[in-house]
Amino acid sequence: MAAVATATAVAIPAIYHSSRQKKSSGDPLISPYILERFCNEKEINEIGVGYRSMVPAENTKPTLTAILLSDGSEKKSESLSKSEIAKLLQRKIQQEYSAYKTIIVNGWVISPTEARQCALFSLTHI
Amino acid sequence: MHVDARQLDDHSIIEGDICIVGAGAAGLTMALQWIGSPYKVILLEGGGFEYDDKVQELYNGKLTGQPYYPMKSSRLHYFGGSTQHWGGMCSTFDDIDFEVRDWVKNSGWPLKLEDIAKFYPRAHPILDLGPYEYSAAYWKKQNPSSTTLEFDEQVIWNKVWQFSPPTRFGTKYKETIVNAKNIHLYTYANVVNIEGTENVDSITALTIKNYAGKEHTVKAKYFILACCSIQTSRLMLASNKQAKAGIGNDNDLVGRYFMEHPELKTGELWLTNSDNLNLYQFGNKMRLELAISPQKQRELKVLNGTVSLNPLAIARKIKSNVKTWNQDDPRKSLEKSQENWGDAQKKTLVQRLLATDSIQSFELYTRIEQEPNPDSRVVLSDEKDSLGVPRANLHWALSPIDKKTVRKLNELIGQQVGIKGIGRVKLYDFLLDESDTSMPDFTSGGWHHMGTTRISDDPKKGVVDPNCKVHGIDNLYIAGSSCYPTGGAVNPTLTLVALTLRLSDYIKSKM
Repeated sequence: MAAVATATAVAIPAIYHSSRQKKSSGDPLISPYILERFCNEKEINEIGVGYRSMVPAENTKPTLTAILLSDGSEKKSESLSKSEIAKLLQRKIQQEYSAYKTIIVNGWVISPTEARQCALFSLTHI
Repeated sequence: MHVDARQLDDHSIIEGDICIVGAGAAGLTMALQWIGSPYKVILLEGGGFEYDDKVQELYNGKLTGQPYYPMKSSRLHYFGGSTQHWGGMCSTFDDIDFEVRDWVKNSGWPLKLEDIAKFYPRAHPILDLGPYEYSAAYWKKQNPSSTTLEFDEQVIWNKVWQFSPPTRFGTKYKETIVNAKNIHLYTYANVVNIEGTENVDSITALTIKNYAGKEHTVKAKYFILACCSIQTSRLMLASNKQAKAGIGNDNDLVGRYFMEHPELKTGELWLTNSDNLNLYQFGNKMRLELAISPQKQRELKVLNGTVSLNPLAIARKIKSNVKTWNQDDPRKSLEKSQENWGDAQKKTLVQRLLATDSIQSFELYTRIEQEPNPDSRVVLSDEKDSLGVPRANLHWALSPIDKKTVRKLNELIGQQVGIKGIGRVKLYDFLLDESDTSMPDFTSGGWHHMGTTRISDDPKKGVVDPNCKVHGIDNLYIAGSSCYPTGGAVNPTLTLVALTLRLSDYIKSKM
């Protein structure tokens, strides 16, 4: 039986937010669009460092950039605009979640693409 | 009628048709069913109508294994039993809880959910619960401004809980019981021994004692033990004058498979919207929790479990229950526990009032069934209580699948919010190392004592048969959650009341 303590709490608004939110850089390659709403730069950086430690083969800017921009087709990505890149990454993230292709980095359950965005951020800003 | 056993002449003999030992949720539910019947019912309660520390002290014992609440304070020893401090959370078991699951050791009931569920509607008014409705859609319809998290139900679904006021059985049913002519309530009547026929295939009498120094004998046709998991198994083990290993313990099962619902803070849920998720919060007659689907339990080979959402600002300030409910005196433990919640609300008041962001954040609080583990058990101590009965010691032991379940359940929620594109989940550090199968020391229980006299149709696998009759003894029954072979993911009270109603009907059919 749950003791009375668990039932004494009253309805409480869950709307609360600290200064965690990362300021968007405007560069979609280093801006995980949902995650950065909950994480500040330090946390995004830590996730990035964590991912690079987990996947050392991707521990360079060119490698991460290439993987982020690949969309499974032969289409050249160099000429993509920022908004096209943002859409590409959002689509990849959604596809990864839908395929249950997630990883856990620093506790965050995220898609590999989000992790790579954090990793690139950590290489870019540190 | 009511008799204080301290006032009886020493060595009195009390006789009746049925004798119920224990006046908590199970014992009182049983007694209520017999009011007005032509049978004389003896109801034995070790304490009185109010808290009495001398009586409560009889529950003291030692703990080993996973950290747990003090033995003395995790149950109440007076009329009404632990309903006098319970929280009132109720929900129904799921079909899968009754199945033999090859990935869950010692799982499987010889009953199906429908065998119990048909008694849930009768149990509801006893616990002052709302309508017998456990679909999220029904409650959402009653609360149209609220939003529910609609995930893939093959993965995560919304489990409904209802809240009893909570019903204090000792308060609500005292007058009814005392005024019932055929219910003979004896307070200060602690059972210290069960006596059987020569080969112990039938029970003939119980010996009761109290700290007034009186000893009496109770005789009946049928005996029902309803003292909850620890005290029922303690009494059976301690009644070892005729059966060396204790009553009903020919197969060394009494006291084993003690179960709780491990519960703990496991992560954070961050949502991008400010939808009204009021149905997931305390403060209503019901609450939703996120539950793992049977399909995913099978696929991932994990246990049943649910996750509640607690507003993060407050939840972060709340200490683990097992760290605050740490006093031998249950009144002090309750006070500390309430202070814990109250302080958290006060400390975060300004922060919450100033909050303007649309983002919502919750702490994920996970509660799971635990795998039945024979090493998780009640044993007798070398030390005796003031009435000469060996004390009960508890060794609470968990299993690797318990931790795996907690991890997987939270990960699935993270995936579901990702699929929906509504947020992200962060798991707490203790879940990150998959090779670490231990549960952290801040793992609490729900004060849910289950197992120790489990049901099985095989005497080698269980203490009681599917009718809750002790194997090999023709007139000894057990009421309560000690009979559960597995504990499901939900609080045990509703189901134990339902199971008791079933037992009552069965015994009536035999009279």
